[in-house]
Amino acid sequence: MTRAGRFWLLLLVAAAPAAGHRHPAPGGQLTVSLPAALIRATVDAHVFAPVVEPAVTGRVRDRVAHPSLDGWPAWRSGVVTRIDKSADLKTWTLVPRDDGDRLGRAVALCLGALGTSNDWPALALAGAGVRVEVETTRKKVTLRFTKPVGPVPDLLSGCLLRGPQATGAYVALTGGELRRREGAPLGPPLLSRIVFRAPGSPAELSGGDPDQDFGSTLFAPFPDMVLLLQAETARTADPLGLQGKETGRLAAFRSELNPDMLSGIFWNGRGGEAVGILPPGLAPARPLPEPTGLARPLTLALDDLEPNAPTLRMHRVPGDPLVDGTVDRLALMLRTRGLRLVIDDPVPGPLMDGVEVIRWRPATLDPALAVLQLAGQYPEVLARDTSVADKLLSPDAGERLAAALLIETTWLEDRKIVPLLWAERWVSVDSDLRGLKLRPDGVPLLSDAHWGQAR
Amino acid sequence: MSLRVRIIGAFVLLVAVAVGVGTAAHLAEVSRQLEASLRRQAARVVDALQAELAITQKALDSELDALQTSGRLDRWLSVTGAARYAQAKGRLAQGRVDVIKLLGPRGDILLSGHWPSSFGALDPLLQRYQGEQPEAAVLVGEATPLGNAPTLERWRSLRRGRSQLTLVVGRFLDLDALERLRATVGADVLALCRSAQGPSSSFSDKTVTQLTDCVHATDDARMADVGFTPGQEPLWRDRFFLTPIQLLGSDDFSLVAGLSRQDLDEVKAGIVRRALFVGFASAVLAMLFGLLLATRITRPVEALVQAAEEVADGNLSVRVPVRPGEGGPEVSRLVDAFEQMAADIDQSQRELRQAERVAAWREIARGLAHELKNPLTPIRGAMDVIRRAHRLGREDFDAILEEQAGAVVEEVERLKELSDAFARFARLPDPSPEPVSVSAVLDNAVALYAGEETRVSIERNYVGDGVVQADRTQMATALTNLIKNAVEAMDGAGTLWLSTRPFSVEGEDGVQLAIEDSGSGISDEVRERLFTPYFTTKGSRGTGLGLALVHRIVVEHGGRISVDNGREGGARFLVWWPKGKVEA
Repeated sequence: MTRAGRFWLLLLVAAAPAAGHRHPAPGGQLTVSLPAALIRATVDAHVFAPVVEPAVTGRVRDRVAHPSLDGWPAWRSGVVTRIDKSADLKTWTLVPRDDGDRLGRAVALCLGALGTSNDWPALALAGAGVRVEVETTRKKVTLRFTKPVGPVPDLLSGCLLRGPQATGAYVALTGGELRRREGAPLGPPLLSRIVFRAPGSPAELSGGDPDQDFGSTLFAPFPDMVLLLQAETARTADPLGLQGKETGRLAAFRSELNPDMLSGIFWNGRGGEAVGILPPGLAPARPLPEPTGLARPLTLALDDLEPNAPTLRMHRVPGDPLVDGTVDRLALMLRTRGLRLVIDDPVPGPLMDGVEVIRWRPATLDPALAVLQLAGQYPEVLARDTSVADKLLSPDAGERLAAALLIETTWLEDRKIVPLLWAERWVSVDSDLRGLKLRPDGVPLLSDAHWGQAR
Repeated sequence: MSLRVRIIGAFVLLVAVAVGVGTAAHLAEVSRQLEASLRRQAARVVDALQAELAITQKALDSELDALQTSGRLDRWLSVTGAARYAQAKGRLAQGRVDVIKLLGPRGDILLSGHWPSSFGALDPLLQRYQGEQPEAAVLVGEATPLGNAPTLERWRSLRRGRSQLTLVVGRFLDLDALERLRATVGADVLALCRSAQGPSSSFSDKTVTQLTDCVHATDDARMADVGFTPGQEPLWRDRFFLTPIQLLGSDDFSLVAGLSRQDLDEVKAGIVRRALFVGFASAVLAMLFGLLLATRITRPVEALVQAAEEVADGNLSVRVPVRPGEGGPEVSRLVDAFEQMAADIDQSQRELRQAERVAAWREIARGLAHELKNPLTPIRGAMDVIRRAHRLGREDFDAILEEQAGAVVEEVERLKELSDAFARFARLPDPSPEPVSVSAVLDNAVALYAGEETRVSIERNYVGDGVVQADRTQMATALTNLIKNAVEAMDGAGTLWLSTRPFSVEGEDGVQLAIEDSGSGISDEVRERLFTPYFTTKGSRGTGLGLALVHRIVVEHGGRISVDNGREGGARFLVWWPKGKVEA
């Protein structure tokens, strides 16, 4: 065989597995049952293409099939062809693959340039006190920040190319169904249909219900965090006995709370005591202000409350069994201390009075942006820490991490935020389904999902 | 207040009192009967409530039996964590009970179906009851995350291995349960209340008014009708018939059943409304009847009163307009007597006037005869002297004749003057009234005496316009006579005061004029006869008809004249002239 013939034979042999890998078994339908809070995000993640995605890692042929952006090896995109930055990191330029107007509008919405937005990148920028202006032409989109912003691609990974028409791998049909779209930026998906069922219904992929556990389990890279936010007035009044010089108080608090038991009762045991604010798995191992000294937890009791017992207002989003159970446990701890709990829904705006139990999950793998996202959601927690906040947007990942950990330590020491427990996030999926991924915010990504056996 | 009004008022008052007393009596009787009915109904409600509570207790005991005998409890104890709680939650979801608790030896919560997070906490139940199980279900305040919920509970001790455990089951007596209970027993309101004074050993210490901190179950529509606002304790105590029921085995709570008084109140209000309507209608009828009767009684009396007033005004020919038999025989006799009296008075007055006329003519004739005799006597005397002188052939017969003839002529002149005055007095024409200024006539009359050559000073004080309806000539005649008399009384020298002012007599407007002189005045005896014809104080110089003429002129104009003594002892004539009335 000639050299050329061997080359072509080698190429053919190498291409076949690659081709076989890329198209294992197209077609098929998947039923999905997710908590109501995740449905909208999951639909959007499949109907609208992300502006930027994490680059493919792993095998060379995968990286070749899905190349990363020039200058940004960690990111790839089916929407932009290039990302440029100015020296002062205040001006960034995106070169669209197709229509710059649609990209500009989507990015402006996502980053909060057009007003208040609930997208986490807008929250992160708001948490850092940064405003952005977006200038759009057909050929490029220019972002102008009021302060230097380093991790712009990280932020853009949280933006979707929204518009009146689908830009992602699927198109949404009425009746809670997604249908495969041939014109997807990074190629058509393998599953033909995704059908959403009511939360708690039997489905081939389900998530969010601790009582529903079947098939294979795919855990998110880090768990949810159940945190206690304290308003200034509550920190001063210290109804839970967390302040003060006795270092054993925090340990006593955790002992009374008994997060492991709470997790066992309400979250199928897939949780535990939280000592930090950033989820384990997102932030690296780090020294945290651990309590020392003897822990003397109170003997919890259900004695009668005085008719005019002082009250504490506790806010929470209803319907989450773990959060409800934690709130009930805190009610018991407060009752033992002679306080009556008043449970309320969350109020808009900063927390001015009482406490709030939140179940928080970062939408990004970057700890600094996670801190900013939390600060953007609850601006009162970062109000005084602006000097360090600027470093959270440093182009240097290490610097960002250090700033994030410093702020976390400050929050812990000030008791602005008290970690209560962590709770795994997972989805249960039919064992035959392949290619499922979970986004950092827990949204299942099915663009590459497919059945091992053709359905 | 007139007689008619008093009679009508008496009728209305009588009816009102009758209706009021009757209504009050009826209302009291109806209230008593309705209250009694309400009490009987309340007693039935209480019985029904007691029966329902007994059923609940039986259900709790059944659940305890079921949990024990079915082995479910042992299965719970054999698993831990989520599985244990899931099973307890599942049992609660079946709805037989609201509370399932498993307590350890110290009373610590090993398992709580309704509050899973309360694991490990000490439950006060065993400590309060010292481990003794009362015979009946106990109402306790079961701890929940938001406070205490009233709960009927039963429990049972059991042994597992070396541990003494307590299984507790319960039924919430919350608002929903109260509402179901209320609808079942037919009460209008059902409330679960704490005693304001806390636990006590005797239920009879408590009254409904001492209960506080209530949870109510109500018929909202009915409560809305009576304006109930949740939390207004005093309000619903007034609106409802309340019966407290001691819950078996509980000293802290009372169940209070209430029946609305709304029906009772509506009935009472209806009675009052009807009474008011009947009372009003009766009052109107009484008023009409009273008016009719009063009219029949008072009309003759009023007619008599009116007739009496007319008689007082001088109309003696009045007839009382009363129909025969109207007002009864007494009124008829009274009317007859009155009319007879009026006729007698009329007759007497006619006779009196006739007698007065006769007397007046007699007086005039006497005066005239006297006056005539006065000049006739000297005339006779003079003729006798002339005849004697002629018979005697006296030489001075011519002188005697001349002298005596002069005396006769003088007396004849006097007779002529008397005749003219009498003619004037007798032939006073009817007045022709016109607007006349009294002060102007006075000034004209006094003009003769106001010149420089007279010795009479005039002082005037005229107030108001002094215009009256009068015959100008007759007024001038009268005032001239008065002024002439006044000047003559001063012997031609002195002060004459003249004044006019508006003055009313018996409600009639007029002008009062005063003519006062500084003469010697008039004695009482003279004053009485001053205006009598032929009465004079001037001897042979006066006719005695001047003031009588003035009097007649003034009276025929409807006025009045009087005389008294003035400020300096002289005479003062007061004449009141009516403004617009002239007596024909």
